[in-house]
Amino acid sequence: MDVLPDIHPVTDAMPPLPSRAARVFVLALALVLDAGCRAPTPAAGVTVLLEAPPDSLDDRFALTAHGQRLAQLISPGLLTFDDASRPVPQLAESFRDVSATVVEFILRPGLTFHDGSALTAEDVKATFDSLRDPKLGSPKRERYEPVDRVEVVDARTVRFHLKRPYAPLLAELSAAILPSERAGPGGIEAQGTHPVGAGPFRFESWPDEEHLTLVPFEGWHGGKPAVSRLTFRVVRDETTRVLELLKGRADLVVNGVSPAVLPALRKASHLRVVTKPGTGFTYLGINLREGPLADVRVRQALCHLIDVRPLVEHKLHGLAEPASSMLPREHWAFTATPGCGYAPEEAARLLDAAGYPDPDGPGGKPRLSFTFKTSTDRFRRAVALVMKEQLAKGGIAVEVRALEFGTFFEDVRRGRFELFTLKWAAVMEPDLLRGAFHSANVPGPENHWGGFNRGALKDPALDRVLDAATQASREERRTLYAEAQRELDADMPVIPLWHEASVAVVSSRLADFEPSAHGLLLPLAKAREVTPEDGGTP
Amino acid sequence: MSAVHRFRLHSWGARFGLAVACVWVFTALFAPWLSPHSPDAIDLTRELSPPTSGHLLGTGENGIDVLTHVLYGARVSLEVSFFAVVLSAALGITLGGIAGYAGGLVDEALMRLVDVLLAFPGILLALFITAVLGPSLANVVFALSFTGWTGYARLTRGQVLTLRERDYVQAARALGSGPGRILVRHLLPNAAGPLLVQATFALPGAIVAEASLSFLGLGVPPGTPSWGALVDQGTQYLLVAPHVALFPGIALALTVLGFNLLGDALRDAMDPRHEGR
Repeated sequence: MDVLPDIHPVTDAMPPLPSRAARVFVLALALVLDAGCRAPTPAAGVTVLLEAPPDSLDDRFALTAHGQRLAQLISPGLLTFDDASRPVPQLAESFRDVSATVVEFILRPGLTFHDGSALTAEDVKATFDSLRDPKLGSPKRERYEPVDRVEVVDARTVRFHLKRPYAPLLAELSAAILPSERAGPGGIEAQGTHPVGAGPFRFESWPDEEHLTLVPFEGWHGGKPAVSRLTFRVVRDETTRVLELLKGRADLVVNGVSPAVLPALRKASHLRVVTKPGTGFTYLGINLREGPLADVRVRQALCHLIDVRPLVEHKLHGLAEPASSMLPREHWAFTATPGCGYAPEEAARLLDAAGYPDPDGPGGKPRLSFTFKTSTDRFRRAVALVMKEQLAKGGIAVEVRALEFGTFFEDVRRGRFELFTLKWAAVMEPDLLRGAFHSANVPGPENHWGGFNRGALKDPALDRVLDAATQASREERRTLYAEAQRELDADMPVIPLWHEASVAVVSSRLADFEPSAHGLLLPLAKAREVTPEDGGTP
Repeated sequence: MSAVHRFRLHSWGARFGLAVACVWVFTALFAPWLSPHSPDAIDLTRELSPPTSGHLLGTGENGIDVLTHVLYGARVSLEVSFFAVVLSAALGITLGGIAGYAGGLVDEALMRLVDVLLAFPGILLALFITAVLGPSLANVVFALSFTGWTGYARLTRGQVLTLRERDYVQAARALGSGPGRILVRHLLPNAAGPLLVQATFALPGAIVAEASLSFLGLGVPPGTPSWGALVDQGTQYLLVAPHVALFPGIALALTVLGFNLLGDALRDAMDPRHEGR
């Protein structure tokens, strides 16, 4: 009969160690390994994860959303925009129209830059003069073409004289204000690498493109932010961003996590998901240049075949609002239009009327076939496949082609598409309608293929309304944009899909953070860091 | 002892590899009959559901049935890897045979071309080709063949160089056979063993390459069932639906392991040094 051996603890089974030194070494190794396995204690301050690095911290050159949002945190402008996209004073105390071609701004009293120097009307003039200066080479220069000159009335008062009435100007006056000595071409490098502004956070370090550190500015007109330090880290992979949040190594991600992953984050007790109706606009672009899609009845039929509700409910987990216009419902210039709605019977009637009858009944040969281009982004591909199935039920065959973003975007710019999906990141100034649908903005060699009217809509009546809106008063603009939205609803140059909500995942170490509808980072100025002494998670 | 006999008696690895290959081919050929759902079926209400009796391996993005896509994915893998290997082999054997038999400048020119192509990492070149041509099954096959023929060319050239001075080749030449006939009738049949082993090893390579391209969004068109595309889809949902990446990943790993073991067994069986072991 076998005798069961005594069961010893594992440590007892180990061979004896040769010396005390070896024991100390093993103990030290164990401690090091243990420390490596535990999540490191986060440093003081708040860590924000970004999906991509900023292209520049100088707002005059920043073209990416992250670049612009970070630049605005360091050096804000005269104005910013509230969640209804209304311009509200930022560094300015107030502004008014002196006449149809003169706008006056009065600066807040006692404004200072991070270097301690006073922010005056001279700095505002120098900033906008530099933006308009061809020698500086700002890619945003053309936006200031309507500005004739900038006049300094006194230390706190500045006037913009325009060549002609131009209502959308206010959107451009949110540009970052810089110290006058940095505004010229000689200050580009300094401002690009060690920016100075009058914003709520002061630049501290930017050792590489993956890391950026800011510290609160005591002189911020809204009071020193209650965050001891802001560290921005670039984490490109979404799963890694989610894990960083779950492990407590990050405190904030704004619009950087897919709706499908949010349930996993909601379960974590130290995280909260905060949402707000957003101003991003996702749409189905249509090429109106030739073929069946040039017929408005075919475009309307497509619109009737696409059911946005299940996409919003299941793909976006309800974190979006079905769109009827480029402008979101909360926008000051929004007007409700009839829209198309999901109506397959109406789609069939329209296609019959347009001369595309069903050749052999449901399920057989298609009435029409199109190519649907999208980027290789997983979410966009998945949405394209759902739309393909929805359109197939209405007798429209669609071949989905997912292309690398550069190739895809170039095809869209050059008009080499039939259908595509894209998204406007934030719709604030309604003059964007003119950019996207005015016949003068069809991409072509004359505008270096940079026009936004990519479907090539040509509607003289709409052009007149959009042109008039640039020179009208605010109330008149609201009426004119309502007319434009009704006209677009009838023309159907794009099929509005949805406005995605602004979603922030916030750790318990950051209190009072409310996301902006536009995805801006400025709400960090009002947020509060919770330390372990306050009862926050260390 | 014949190679076939040696192979038959070989280890469990050979038997496992053969079994995997048989299951894989059977699954690929009969996927439409084995699959419980249509690969095009979309059901947003069931998106990312865990395994249930209705969906044995759960559902993925847009509510697709993971089991159906794994079964159909075998078909895509078979199509792509089979055609990629056949095309690569055809091109590589032809050019390698010509280089080895003709020698001189032709050999130099062809081998330097092989060197140039080998200097680029194959997957990078394939990525470039599919990025330019766009995602489609035919383009994936073309990309993999374009980068895959060089191995066959080198191997064939080496074999032809060692065989071309053999007595039976000299005899065929003396009897008036032309270079084409000598290559096809005498040299290539005698070089077939190593080439078959090379093809067996190339097959899992092509499967992984197709999966890699699809994982990067440059393989099969969107919606086409593919193991790589399914793993790509699943990586986004690892935290909420790990089954989406897990099952196609297992299928991919098992198939590649099986073919590698089969290749090992074939190599050993063809190797005369294993005679009598």
